[in-house]
This record gives sequence, C-alpha cells and structure tokens, in this order.
Amino acid sequence: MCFDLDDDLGDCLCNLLMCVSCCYLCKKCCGCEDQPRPQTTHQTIYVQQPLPGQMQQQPMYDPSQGQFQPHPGNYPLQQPVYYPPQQSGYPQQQGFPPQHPGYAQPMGYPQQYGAQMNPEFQQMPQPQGYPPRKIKLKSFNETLYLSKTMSQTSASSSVLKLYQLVIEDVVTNVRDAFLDEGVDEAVLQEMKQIWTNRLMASKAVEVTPEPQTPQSQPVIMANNPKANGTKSKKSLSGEQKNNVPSSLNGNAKGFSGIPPLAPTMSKGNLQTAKNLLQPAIKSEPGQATASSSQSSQNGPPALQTTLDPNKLIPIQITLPPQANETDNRVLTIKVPARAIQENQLQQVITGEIITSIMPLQPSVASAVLQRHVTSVLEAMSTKSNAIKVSRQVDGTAGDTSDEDGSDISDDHFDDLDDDDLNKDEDGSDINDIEGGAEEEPLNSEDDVTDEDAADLFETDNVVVCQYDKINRSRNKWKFYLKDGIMSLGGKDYVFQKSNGDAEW
Amino acid sequence: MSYQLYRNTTLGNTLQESLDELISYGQITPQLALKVLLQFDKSINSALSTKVKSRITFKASKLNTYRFCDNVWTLMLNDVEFREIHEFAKVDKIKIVACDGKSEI
Repeated sequence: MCFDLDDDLGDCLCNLLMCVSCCYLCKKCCGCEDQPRPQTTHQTIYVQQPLPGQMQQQPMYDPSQGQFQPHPGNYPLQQPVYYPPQQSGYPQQQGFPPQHPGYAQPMGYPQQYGAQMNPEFQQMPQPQGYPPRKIKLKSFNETLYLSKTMSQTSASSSVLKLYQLVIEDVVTNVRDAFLDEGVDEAVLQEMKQIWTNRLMASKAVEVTPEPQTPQSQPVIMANNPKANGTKSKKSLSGEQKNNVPSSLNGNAKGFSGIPPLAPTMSKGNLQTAKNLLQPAIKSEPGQATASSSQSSQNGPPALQTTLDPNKLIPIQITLPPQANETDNRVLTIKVPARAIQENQLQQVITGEIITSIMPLQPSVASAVLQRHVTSVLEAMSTKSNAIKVSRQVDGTAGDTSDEDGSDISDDHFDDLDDDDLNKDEDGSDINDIEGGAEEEPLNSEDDVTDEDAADLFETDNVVVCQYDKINRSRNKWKFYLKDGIMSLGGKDYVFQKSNGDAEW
Repeated sequence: MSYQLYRNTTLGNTLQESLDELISYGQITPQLALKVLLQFDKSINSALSTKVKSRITFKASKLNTYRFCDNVWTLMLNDVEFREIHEFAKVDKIKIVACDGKSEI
C-alpha cells in the first residue's frame, strides 16, 4: 500500500473507494507498478505498521508544525505511522485529485470523483493497521470483469441454478454406469460440457456470470490484429490513454508462433470476402492450416484464399496455468475466417466455456472448445443468413447493406441475391394463384377448421408440469399445477405451484 | 420410476442432442445414453419437487382446446398472462402438458 500524500488522502485508495478500473487508471499506486510512475516533486509516504519497539523512535509527525496533516480519521498512536515528506512547504491541496505540476491527468479521469470521495472517505471506518497490500492486475479483461461483478445484483437465477444442479446430479449419478461400460471419464466430462454449452446457446436461461477467481480469467487472443484492436479499444472505452497493460503486451509475443492474418486486410478486401459469403461448410482442418499459413507468406495474390470466409484459421488461446502447473497452456482451435472478420469470437468464446474447460487436459479442452465454437458459429451463420434473406424479400436490401462496403461490390452482391429471390418469388406466386384458382370452388368454410386442428397443438410456448387437480364448472376452468418447467418466448421458467383459470 | 415428460424441455432436449452427438461420434453406446436419460428423469423430478419454490399464477382469456388421455392433460390456452411478484409474461398461445401429480409411479 502506498500513498502519495500530496493531499491528505493519497491518490489511490485502492481497496476502499475506487473501482478497480479507476484504480488502475490512476496509475499512482501499487496496482500499477508496471507503469511508469508519474514524475511528481513529492515524496511518497508509506504507511506501515510499525514494529512495537520501533514506534517511539520513529520521527512522529507533529500536526502543530503544519507541514502535513494526518488523515481526518484520527488514528490512535498505534496506528500506521506517517513519515512526513522531506520537502516541506508544499501547499496543501484541498481538492482531489491533486493537480500535480508534473502529473498529467489520464484522459477520462472523473474529475468530480474525488470531490465526492473526500467526505465519504472521512466517514469510512479505517481498517486497523492492515498490512501493505498489492493488487496486481493481470489484464483489462480482468479489470472489467471485477467491476462488473461488483455491480451485479443478485438477479433471479433460479432456473440456471436448478439446471446446473440437475446437470451435476446426472453427471455424478451416471459415473458408475460409464465406468461399468468402460467409458472414459473424459467422455463424461465432455457430455457435461456439450450439454452445458447447448443449454447456454439456447439462450433459455438467464446467464449471470459465475464468480471466478481473477487468475482464471484468460486472455483470449485471436491472431487477428484488427479484432484485437477493437476489443481492447472497447474495453478501455477511451479511458486508457497510452498505457497498454503489460500483460497484454507480454501475451502479444505469443502471436509470433502463429501465422498472422494478412495485416493488409482492409475494407475492400473484406468486401470481396463478403461476395464469397456462403453458408458455413466444414472444411478439413489440416489442409486449412497449411493453406492459411502459406497464403499469409505469399502475400497479396493468395489473399483471396485467406479471406475466404469459410477457410479455417487457427487461433491460439492461452490459459493461465493451473495451480499444479507452471506454464501457460496454449490451446489451438480453428475457426472460419468469417468469425474473425465479423468479430464473432468474443461472443462465442465466453467466460463460461473457458472456465469449464480450465480443469481439462489441454487436448480434451481443445476438442471441447473446438466443438463448441464450431456449433455456435454454425448456428450464428444460419441465423444471419436467414436475416439477410428476409430483409431482401422486403426489398430493403439496398438500404441495409453493410456500412463499410463499397457501392460496386454491394450492388453486385445484392443483384445476385435479388435475382435468385425474384425467381423464387415468381415461381411461388404462380403456384399460389393456380392453386387458389383450382381449390377455391371446392374450398368450403369448414375446411378451415380442419387445417387449424392440424397445428392446433403446435406452439413454442410449452409448459410441462404435473396437475394436482383441474376443475370445471360450466365453461370456467381452474388449473392447479405443480413442478413445472415453462418455456415462454424462448425463456425458461420453473414453478413449484401454479394456479390459473380460463374460460372455454 | 419418474415421469419422462421433462425430456421435452430445454434441459432435456439439449441433453438428448448431446447424447446423440456422442453416439454419432461413437463415444458412448445408445444403451448408456438411455441410462443417462433415465437418470435425468430422476434428477429433474426430484429437483423440481424439492428445490423449486416459486409460485406462479396465470390467467388465460380462452381455453382453446383440452384433451385428457391416459391421465395426461393437454391444454391449449390463448392470451395467457403469467404473474409472479417480480415477473410478468404474456403469450398469445401456450400448450400445457400435465401428468398426474398425485399418482405415485
């Protein structure tokens, strides 16, 4: 713990008042020892718990001398001893943060923050002589994660909890059956993993981030400088001025091992890639690795192949070491280039999946992760294709064309699709008219009810439950249900009891 | 013996898909998958009866169709509002499948 006692509070009150990101941004305290300390003209004053014998020998600060005011919290003498600054006569700053002559404020530093903090801090009970502490921030991922968790309210995650409980219960209870059949434990874990992933991908449960230890938050790197850049930009939200967290820098060295995506990738090239956009096709991983590394060496002529959106590109994911290991574990998975271009990786590789594969062996973890990524990306691509088609049926394709696209390629792209769709539409229109003309004389009113009956029991909103009793009096019905799982509008709910009524 | 109807939920369906995937990769046998499903039936039935505490009321404008067959009710309701203290959901159409909650099977 270190205080710059230029003002009487110290600039960084790490654990007390600032959120971690602000603490990091202040760059003046222990969390930032990797950063160059700003040049101040003042002495740093350390707060220490004095040894019993030392205490009387230390030059105690005398407030009457006016050089330095102790914290208004009025420590008793046994409390941390303040060592007064060597330079005296520095004017006491009333405001916070202090305007140091040699200290440039980081951009986006909340100016009014200190003003609010000051009284708050005074009211706050001070920890009694806590030991010097250090906070080390591994990366900004972690920073943001911490602040996010702190602000998290305890949302109703009963469905998620129940599901996790059931999953655990099933896994523990079928372990023997797996052993009996001679199936490896890893398969059981894989089953659990796939199940969890699918459950999360279904979006039916409200996902609240599980509390994790900061160390387990991995740094996800794609070998795509663009994606990385946007991500860090986003997470810093402009507050970070010129300091890249050193851990990120360190990890960036890991890039050299993998063939980087051609750095010349520009909007124009992306556009070309979009023209090639096809529904996802799984291609052979082995061949893809070779060709992508080859193409990046060959430069522009091979660029087209690199940017084929379905081309699989290896990306590396570095997990922090487990407790019993020393080295970082590096997993390599392959994703279609499209995923990197469209920046989907951050959505796909979530904290949960990473946490869940953490305890697995690297080879198993890679396999699980690979499967997860592939399935999720496929789901995403089919979804986005569906959206595109529906847009163009509305005839708004021109308006909703990609923002960074050049006109020529966009038009080309649209024309192709429009032609296809027009053909389809024309064809179906004709069929409809013909069919209608033929059937209409035969189609009496009562046919309609038959059609309804066919899909009468078809809906996506389903309640699966047990009934205690179901009563009817005349046309009024009352339902007493229990132990139900409901899927309403794609979200899951559970209930112990549910009562309802309706009229027939 | 537990009801198998919860297999037709998000949790049950995702489990069945996962098992299908493992079977197709040849990692488990269909018999083992069946054992897992039976265990799932047990787990979900007991978890629902012991762990869930929420109470929900609903009101439907119309009971469109009902069917009672083999002690299973299937109800189609229209314009249903669901209420809990903190929650509110409204759907225009819903299917309720309910097994007998009193029978000990």
